Amino acid sequence: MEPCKVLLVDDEEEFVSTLAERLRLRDIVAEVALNGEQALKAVEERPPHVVVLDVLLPGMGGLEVLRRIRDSHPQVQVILLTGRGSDEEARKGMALGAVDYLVKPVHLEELIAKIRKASPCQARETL
Amino acid sequence: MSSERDPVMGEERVGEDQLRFMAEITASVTHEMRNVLATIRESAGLVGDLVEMVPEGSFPKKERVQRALKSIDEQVERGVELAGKLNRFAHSIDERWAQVNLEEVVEEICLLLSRKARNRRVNLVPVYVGQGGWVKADPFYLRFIICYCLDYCLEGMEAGGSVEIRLQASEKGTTLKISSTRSSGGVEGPQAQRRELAVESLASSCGIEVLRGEGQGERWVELSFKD
Repeated sequence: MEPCKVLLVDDEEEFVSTLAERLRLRDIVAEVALNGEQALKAVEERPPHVVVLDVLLPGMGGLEVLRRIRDSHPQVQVILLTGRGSDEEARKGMALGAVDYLVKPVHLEELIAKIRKASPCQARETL
Repeated sequence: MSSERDPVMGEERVGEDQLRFMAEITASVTHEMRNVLATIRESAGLVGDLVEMVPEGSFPKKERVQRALKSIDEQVERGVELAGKLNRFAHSIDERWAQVNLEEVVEEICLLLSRKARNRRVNLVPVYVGQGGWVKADPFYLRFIICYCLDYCLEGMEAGGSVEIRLQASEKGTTLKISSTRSSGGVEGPQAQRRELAVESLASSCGIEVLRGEGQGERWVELSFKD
């Protein structure tokens, strides 16, 4: 089985780069995008198995990025990251085709479990 | 800014627009707090990963570092819970009338007021009897009334006492009784009395009946919700 290729999209650079580093320690190929435009470009050039996408992105919002990915690359699964107490954004995202969602801050094990559930690729949950 | 006197707020100068503004800022900041906590969790997690990778026996303080990291993670969890409850509290002003789960509201208020209670060295003890506890209410006013009742019971309490918040839901109806022990009575006077009447009037307009009493070191308020 191929190692999981994951694109992490979040404008919190320190958060997303550290998360990517931790995923790489678990043999997951993790790339980072800091905004919607970067995310769409990365998906176009190096389609991942799964995109982990923050809903509240500045500029092009997460739900718009989700809509465009689902249009252009329906095979790419999207997991949403929400930071709100309300599930409203998550509900909208699921209706637009997101496969799952998580509320920030995430538990790494939970994120990896959801990545593995979303796509048949290889990832270790422990070091 | 409005300078009208509000029957509940008294001589205060804030109106609904200003409250909404404050709630919006609060909700927005709680979102940002989640980002801060997420970064702390991942950074601590990365340290944990790196420590875990150090060969056995070559890092004498490994266990101590892991304990410190566990403590960071627990504090992050605590922060997440506080941010979540504060976010919900701020959003309570969004709707004028909604189905509200009283158990969730009691949990939220107990957590948000836990510091205030701790400063007085008083315990808040929620008790849930029966299933349900859903009521139709103005979510913001409901919180305001419950917090006021808690304040009423906290007044005059001695250290070491406790405030029980008992939610009882049955086919007959739903009641919330807040009662304090080790109370030597609250603040008396026309201002306190005016405030009590105003809150009772507000509760009545929300369909909530208020009963209260005190004696023998106890002070209590009972809210009865109409279906």
